[in-house]
Amino acid sequence: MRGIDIADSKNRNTEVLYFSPAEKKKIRFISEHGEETKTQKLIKTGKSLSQLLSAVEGDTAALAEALIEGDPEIDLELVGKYAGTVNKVYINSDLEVVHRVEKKEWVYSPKGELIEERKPKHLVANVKESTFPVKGAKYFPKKEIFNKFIFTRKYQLRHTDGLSFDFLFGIAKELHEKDSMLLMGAGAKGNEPLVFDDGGKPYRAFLEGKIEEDRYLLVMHLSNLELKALPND
Amino acid sequence: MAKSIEFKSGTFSFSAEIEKVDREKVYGWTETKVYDSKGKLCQVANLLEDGRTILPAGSFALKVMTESGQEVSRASLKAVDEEGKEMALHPSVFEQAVQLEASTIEEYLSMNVKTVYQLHVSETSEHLQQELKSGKLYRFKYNYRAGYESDDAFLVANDQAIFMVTGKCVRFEMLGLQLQAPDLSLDEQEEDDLLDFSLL
Repeated sequence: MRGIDIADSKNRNTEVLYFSPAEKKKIRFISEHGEETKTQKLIKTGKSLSQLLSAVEGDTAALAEALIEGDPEIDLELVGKYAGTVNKVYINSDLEVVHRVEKKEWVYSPKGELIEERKPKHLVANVKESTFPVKGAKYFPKKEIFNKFIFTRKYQLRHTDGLSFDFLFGIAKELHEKDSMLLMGAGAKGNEPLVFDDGGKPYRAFLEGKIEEDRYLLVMHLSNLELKALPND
Repeated sequence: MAKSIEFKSGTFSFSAEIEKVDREKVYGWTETKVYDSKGKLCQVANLLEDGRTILPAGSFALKVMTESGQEVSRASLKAVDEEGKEMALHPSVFEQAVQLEASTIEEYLSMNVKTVYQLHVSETSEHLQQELKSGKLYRFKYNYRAGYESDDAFLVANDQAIFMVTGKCVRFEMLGLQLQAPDLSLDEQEEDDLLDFSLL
């Protein structure tokens, strides 16, 4: 479980936990003879198509012939081995690992038109700032909002002690009584989207709350997509 | 040509073609390229555990293996549940009509969403349009391809269109205080001891 610093409607804040309830895997696959199975990652080739083509100077017919005759794509020391842990690296055209890279980003419209060229934005996590806690920005009645956005992911909030239990119970009670969801924001003004990890994606978050006797449920619904009809063309 | 699904409920039925809705189609997309210090284009590759072997993208294959290390074909596998009982294969939604059940906003909101589709209904049922647009929801079991486990799916509408939203519903548990410390209140003797300075 990870922490989030959150404020209530009275602007009191504290750090609580958030988690995604685990989905229990219900299916196992067994062999015809009843043996347990698992999926393994194996090495199938050590050379890319461009490497193979460069060996025959780009002649596809020659490559086809070479593949049939000599299996140049198969390195017997490598092929068929379990891959184990694999790290992603950048390589240049000389197949050397590159340690210092520069990234460029091209932004396209839904119609595929180039809008801008820029350096990629690196977003910093902003949900655990006690100076600027995540706070409510606007209430939306559930009936009016459920079909306006796609609530992709859910995180349940959890207390850490008696005081944070009362704090979260209070927020849940308020939302339950209003039958509404609360749009949450981060940053100094509380209007920025939530970023959960450094370099992660930004999400709008809507808090839903329910209470039942002395128990509560607070779920943060994350969204990065409005429910909109696609353009006609 | 887009695939079509037939939907049925007790009072109506209709068929619709589906079209995937995603961020790229609604807001556009970005493409990132990476360059080295000399301005040459770089690509992502895989570095193996030995720290020396570099393999290009597409160098791996996923194979199903038994505990004894034998490779088995996916087609020969049997799906079993937690108790070891063989499971039935659920047909694809494109193969047979989907049975709709009335649902609630709470159920819909409990779903972790995987995919969203816009429905293109050929013969529109006015009754259905009215029901969906007034906030009524329908749910059903969803398999894009035939499979042993189904996803959840809901029909949701707004003033723009009717959508099919698929994913997995999550069971959230209400939380009580629970983290109560054991009752360690002082008994009479211990209270007396509090002011017994000779014990210090």
